[in-house]
Amino acid sequence: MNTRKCVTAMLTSIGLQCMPGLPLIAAEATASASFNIDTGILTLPVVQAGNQSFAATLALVPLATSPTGAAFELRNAAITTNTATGAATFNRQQGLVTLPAVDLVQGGNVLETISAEMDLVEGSTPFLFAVASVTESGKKIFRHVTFGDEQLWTDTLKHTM
Amino acid sequence: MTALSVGLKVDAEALPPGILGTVDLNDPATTVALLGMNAVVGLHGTVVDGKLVKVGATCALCHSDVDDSVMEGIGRRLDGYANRDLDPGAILALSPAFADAQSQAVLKSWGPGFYDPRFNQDGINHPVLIPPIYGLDGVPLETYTGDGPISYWNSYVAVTQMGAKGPFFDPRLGIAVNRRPDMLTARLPALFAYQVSIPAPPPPQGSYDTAAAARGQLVFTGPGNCASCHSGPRFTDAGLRLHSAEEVGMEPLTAERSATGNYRTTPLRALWQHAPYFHDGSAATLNDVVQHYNSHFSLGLTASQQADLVEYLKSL
Repeated sequence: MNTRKCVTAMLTSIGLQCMPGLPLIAAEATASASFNIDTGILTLPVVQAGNQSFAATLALVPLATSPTGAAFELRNAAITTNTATGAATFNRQQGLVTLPAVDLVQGGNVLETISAEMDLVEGSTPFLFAVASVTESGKKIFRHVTFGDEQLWTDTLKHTM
Repeated sequence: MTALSVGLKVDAEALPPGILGTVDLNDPATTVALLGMNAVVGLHGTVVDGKLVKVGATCALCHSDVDDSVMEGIGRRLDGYANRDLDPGAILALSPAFADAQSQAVLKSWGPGFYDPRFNQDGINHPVLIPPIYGLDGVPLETYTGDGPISYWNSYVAVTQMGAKGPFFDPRLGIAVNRRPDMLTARLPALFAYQVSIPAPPPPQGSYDTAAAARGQLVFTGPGNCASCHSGPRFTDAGLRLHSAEEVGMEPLTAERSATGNYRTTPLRALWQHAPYFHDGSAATLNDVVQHYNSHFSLGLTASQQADLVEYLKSL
């Protein structure tokens, strides 16, 4: 089986159809998921989908029906054997892509790391993923996010200072 | 009272270079300024015109330490470490909300490193040790009593303890809270991913006897019978079963107050780093841990076997 057929089979096995003309890329080891603000390209070195992992590249496009007004269109996909801590995951049953950590890159510098969730737009060709939510990275949440608990702590902790 | 005296830590990397040499660390205004710089670990403050107008707590308050590289209590963050210097009871006791004599007595009885995450639910005073949260990748159940996976406990603590806006429901405990707007749920997946990415710190070079540790491993899997419960890659059988207080020789009240009524086998990682041991801190050393089980299970381990076992535990 050649690479293209193999990828087609794998995508089909997780419930996706490989659309005609989908370019395939060789998997490359990359440190972390990143979104290049200058080019609008989202690079996902590892997307875990069932028992398979893919490397994928997507392009930012506007989408009026997206909760955030934004979506990503799949441009490239390839099977990869790479692994990554905090890799993106795709749940076919829910049509949900979870991105635990994405570096926002501008001018070659990482400005911030965020996490996001995207929903597959059913029937889209090429595959289109609506950006459902964007949050801070897990590290930032762990260190700095209060989940709105100031109401309790403001009165409590002001007396310790 | 300053932040450092109640065990709060300062993130040196959040500070402008050289600032510590120019400020009075005993001045409360310094603490306020540090909060404004997001430099107090686990607290997020809003400072306007030099006054603290809003402050909130984060996960890092209890589950991060610093490496003391600048001075005691000030250094680089160590996420996942338990802050055993933090005295949550002393902090809460300073609030007007807990000014009554009974609350004061309870909160001041906890001491540094201890917190009772059930007190405001059932009114019983029975604190537990703040645990480290590193090395949890692959551990199926969180908490000493195995109440649920990591994100379950994140929600429990955030909503019922920190005062977060979001939902927490557990019919086993009779808790149903849903504060709006939900500022929690969407963040749980990313928070979970970060938590499980925090590795357990390896034992420092030369911190244990390697030959004795090798012998101790044989005791662990052999006559010590430790591996019958501390099994698998994370040294816990928590995914398979929990254990009654009587079975493992623990005090029963903590288990009785939980959703499971039992104890989870603690995953063993970085034991060199986080003494004391057991959920209530009743074992000051690893030797105390070994003696507890040697006695409770009538293992009959010799003094030499116990010493070797301790060295093995220090190596994990």
